[in-house]
Amino acid sequence: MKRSRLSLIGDSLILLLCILAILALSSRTLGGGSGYVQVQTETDTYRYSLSVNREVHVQGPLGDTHIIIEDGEAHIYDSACPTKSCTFQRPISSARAWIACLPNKVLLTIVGENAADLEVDDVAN
Amino acid sequence: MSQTERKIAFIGATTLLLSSVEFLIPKPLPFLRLGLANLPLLIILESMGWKAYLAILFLKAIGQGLVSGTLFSYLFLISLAGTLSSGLAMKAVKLLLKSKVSLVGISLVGAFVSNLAQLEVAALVAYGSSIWVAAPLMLTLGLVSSFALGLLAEIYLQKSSFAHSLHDETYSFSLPVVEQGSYHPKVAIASLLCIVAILFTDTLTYLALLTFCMYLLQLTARRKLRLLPPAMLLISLAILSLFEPNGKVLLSLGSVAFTEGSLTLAFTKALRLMSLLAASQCLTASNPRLKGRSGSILLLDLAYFGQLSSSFRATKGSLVKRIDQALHHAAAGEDVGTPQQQMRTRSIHEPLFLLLSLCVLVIALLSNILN
Repeated sequence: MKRSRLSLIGDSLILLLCILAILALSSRTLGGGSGYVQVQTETDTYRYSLSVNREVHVQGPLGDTHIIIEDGEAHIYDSACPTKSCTFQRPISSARAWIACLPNKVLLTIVGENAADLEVDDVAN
Repeated sequence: MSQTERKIAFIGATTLLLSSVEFLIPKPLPFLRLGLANLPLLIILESMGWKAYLAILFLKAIGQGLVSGTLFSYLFLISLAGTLSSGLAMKAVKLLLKSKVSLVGISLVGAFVSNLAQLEVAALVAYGSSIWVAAPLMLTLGLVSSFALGLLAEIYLQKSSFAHSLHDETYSFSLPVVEQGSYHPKVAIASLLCIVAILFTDTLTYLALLTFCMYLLQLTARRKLRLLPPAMLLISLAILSLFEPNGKVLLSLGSVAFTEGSLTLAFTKALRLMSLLAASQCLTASNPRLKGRSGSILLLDLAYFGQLSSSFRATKGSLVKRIDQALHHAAAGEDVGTPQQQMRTRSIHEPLFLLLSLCVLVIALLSNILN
């Protein structure tokens, strides 16, 4: 009898540790989504993960728009528009931020971002 | 062959029997696992020394790989990681906590560590780090099933007559007739070449063609084709691709979307893994020679498994009763199964096999030249 009570303590301790570890792991995997950048052109929609560095070319009515995704941020590097004002906009990484190249009809937005970042961004704006 | 070696082989064989029994139990979802094959490990945890215990762990992983034909594929790496890490963790916990822990606690640790190790290796060799989104669900289900398994092990250890005779050192195991199927060196070499071909083929259409040929090869090698695992692989990789969007949006589902680039990547990966699995099946079918002392223990392990499963098939009644009966029969060397069943395995049609492997090589070559 004594033995089974002793093992009950050990067993419940192990169960508790396992549950804690699962909770810690799930908060990490579910909370740490790095978000995606969505690129809308006149005809199509594209989506890219922000966690992978890459360069993207999309076509608008005036020609090529060159987008760079780097260190979790996205910006327009070059575009076939007369003013190039879109290339001077700051890189975006969190929800509600956007970059547009109106002449070439290209719109960059962020999707799938978590609520915490959204609030921070609201204050900053 | 010493009694200890026979005992190691026999316990290894029981893990194989239980993994095939697990296939017979209907489950609501295919990825749910009870981990029945870990039951023998829990039962012998205290009575076996480190060396014998480690040998049983390897026998379990390699034996499962040989029986299911996955020994030469990424699946074997995943299963080996799970078996070794959980086996070592369970033994360590028992040594550390001694009577402060029951088989329930040990089973919980084993399942947890096994799932973590399998996720880590699966992320490395096949799925990529997005597989970790499945971790909370997998680990939670693992806790539930391992809890039940631990209870089952405790009850079995107290009640079963076989477990007691196993602890008794004087119990002697009969030596079954060990025979090895004939070795097909050409099949082995052709399968290895196919593996190289698969690794060097990139385009989706060529890979699809290649996978089809590999399945034909697997059929020629007389290995059963199972459709559920590849279907699951395709679906799970497609779902995981949602978390790594890349390219044109094909279908948008709320905040996630299937994108062209990531779906192409997912299907390429799935097809490559599927054809590698088929190649592993062919390589297993070539009956690679098992040499040395560990080879002969492995052969004995497979022979015991043959006896166990034939006597399991021959007995009627409840699952537990059939398992217990099979254990007693096989240990005593009474073969109740019909011997014709083992003889029925037909030989491989070698010319056809070689012709098909040539097709695979040509497809791989074409994909590299034309792209």
